[in-house]
Amino acid sequence: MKGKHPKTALTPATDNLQKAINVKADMDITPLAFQKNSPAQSDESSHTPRQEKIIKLKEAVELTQEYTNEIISELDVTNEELTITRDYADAIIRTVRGPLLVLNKDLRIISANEAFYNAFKVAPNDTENRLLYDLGNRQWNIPKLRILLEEILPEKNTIEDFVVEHDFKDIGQKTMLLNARTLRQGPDKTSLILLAIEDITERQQLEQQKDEFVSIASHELKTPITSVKAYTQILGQRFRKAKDMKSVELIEKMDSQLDKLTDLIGDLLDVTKIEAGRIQFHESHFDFNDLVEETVEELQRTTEKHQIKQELQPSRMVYGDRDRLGQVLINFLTNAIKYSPHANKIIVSTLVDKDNVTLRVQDFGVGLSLEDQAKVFDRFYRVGGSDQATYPGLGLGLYIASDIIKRHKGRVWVESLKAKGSTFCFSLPMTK
Amino acid sequence: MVDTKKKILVADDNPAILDALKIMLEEEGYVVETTVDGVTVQDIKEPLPDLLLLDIWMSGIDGRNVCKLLKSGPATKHIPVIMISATKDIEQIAKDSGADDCISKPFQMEYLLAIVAKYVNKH
Repeated sequence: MKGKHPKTALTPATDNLQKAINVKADMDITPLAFQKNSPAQSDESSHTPRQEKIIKLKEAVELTQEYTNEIISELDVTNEELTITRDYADAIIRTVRGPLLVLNKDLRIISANEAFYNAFKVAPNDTENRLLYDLGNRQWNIPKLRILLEEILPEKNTIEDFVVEHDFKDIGQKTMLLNARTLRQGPDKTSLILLAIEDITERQQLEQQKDEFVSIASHELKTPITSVKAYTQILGQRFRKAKDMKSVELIEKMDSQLDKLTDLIGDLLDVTKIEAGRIQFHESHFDFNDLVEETVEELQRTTEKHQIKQELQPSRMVYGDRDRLGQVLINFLTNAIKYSPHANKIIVSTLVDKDNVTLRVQDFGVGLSLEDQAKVFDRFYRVGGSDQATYPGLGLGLYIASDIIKRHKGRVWVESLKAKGSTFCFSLPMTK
Repeated sequence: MVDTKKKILVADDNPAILDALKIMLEEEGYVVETTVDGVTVQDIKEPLPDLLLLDIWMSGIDGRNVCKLLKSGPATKHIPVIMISATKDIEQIAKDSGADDCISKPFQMEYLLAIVAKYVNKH
């Protein structure tokens, strides 16, 4: 708040006034009527005690007047500040583009901003001093909103991002995001409620269109890949039958590139699914080391330079989506290979204790700065810097991986030193 | 190689995929019939195929409905139906439509041939 507290603002002037009053009190004034018999004042230079008193009294009156003026001018300043503060709040309410309502504690509307009138096609006359629930065709009389405003708000004082889907009079079916806050005002601390309403209908539609687009696009992209991959495999088989192993090798390389392309499309689809919360898991009990060994074997085939060493503790049964957890492991291993082009070793290890099973994939590559470590699991994040810019990728793999682990109630993290290498880890809780 | 030639019907609205599947399955010794028009699958007549490879989204016709229809017809319900699609939720869709199994696109040839062999020989 910008305004000063009135009491502290007035203190200097009030003090002065008090001093002036004290001076007056000190003079031990006897009413003039009782001093009529006092000797007359003839000498200008030597004042009688009575004259002295009058002079002092005059001074005190002048002083009092002066200080009173000071207080009045300070009061004016405070008033001005109050006006400024009120204008300030008013300006905010009027400037925000989103509809905003100020309600009293009975949910009667004290004021609304222009954006509210525009958005809901209503006039101030039909709005101010009316109960929120009575507005329009009682369109705000929504049971869930009532519970929120009448039960939750008084207790918590804020409501954040509450979604209301409703067929509103004049503007039709809309999705609104509500935020509310209680303000206690004035000496009697009466509550005011600020209610901000955001129309997210369009945003939601765009979001949905984007999801649909990605879903259709990935389906469409996979169709030609399917036929190319099928032809590739037919050729591979023919070369194999003809014992043309050099051609078989080329065909296998083609085939693995097609798999990479398919994985990229899969990542794009996964991201939209994560955002929409639609990623589905098929959970079962499985042997953790089996999955690690299988995946390492698969990835070892993709690199000649690196030896992937396994340091596994005795296996445990884990409950989760085996394919999705395998996807995380593949992601960690492909990153380890990709970001350690000059190393020849990668270590995959597991740690098992009574609560968790932890997997670590350690490389001896470029490593990550602290800043990059903090963001490396973010969506679309790619490590910056000139030497890093040459590494390909969409910046989705680790984001998807961390979501998969989080959805398994696990933890994912990285330990790294720049130019020394990185260790990507996840731990999964053991199910009892 | 298959002893007595088994007949496989493949329905997919993409001609290149049909072509590749035909070559693949024929090289394995099956008799393959293909169609880009999913509607014709709904009223297949004798001689019925030993297995149906069915795409889900086929220009104007939904593979799920085709599958449900075949699986509810007394003459056709015994035909194994393998759904094949690039849709990620294919497992759920196949289950809901009463298909016997599913293969996601793009597929590994060995996997496809193994699934086909499994159901053709069961039949």
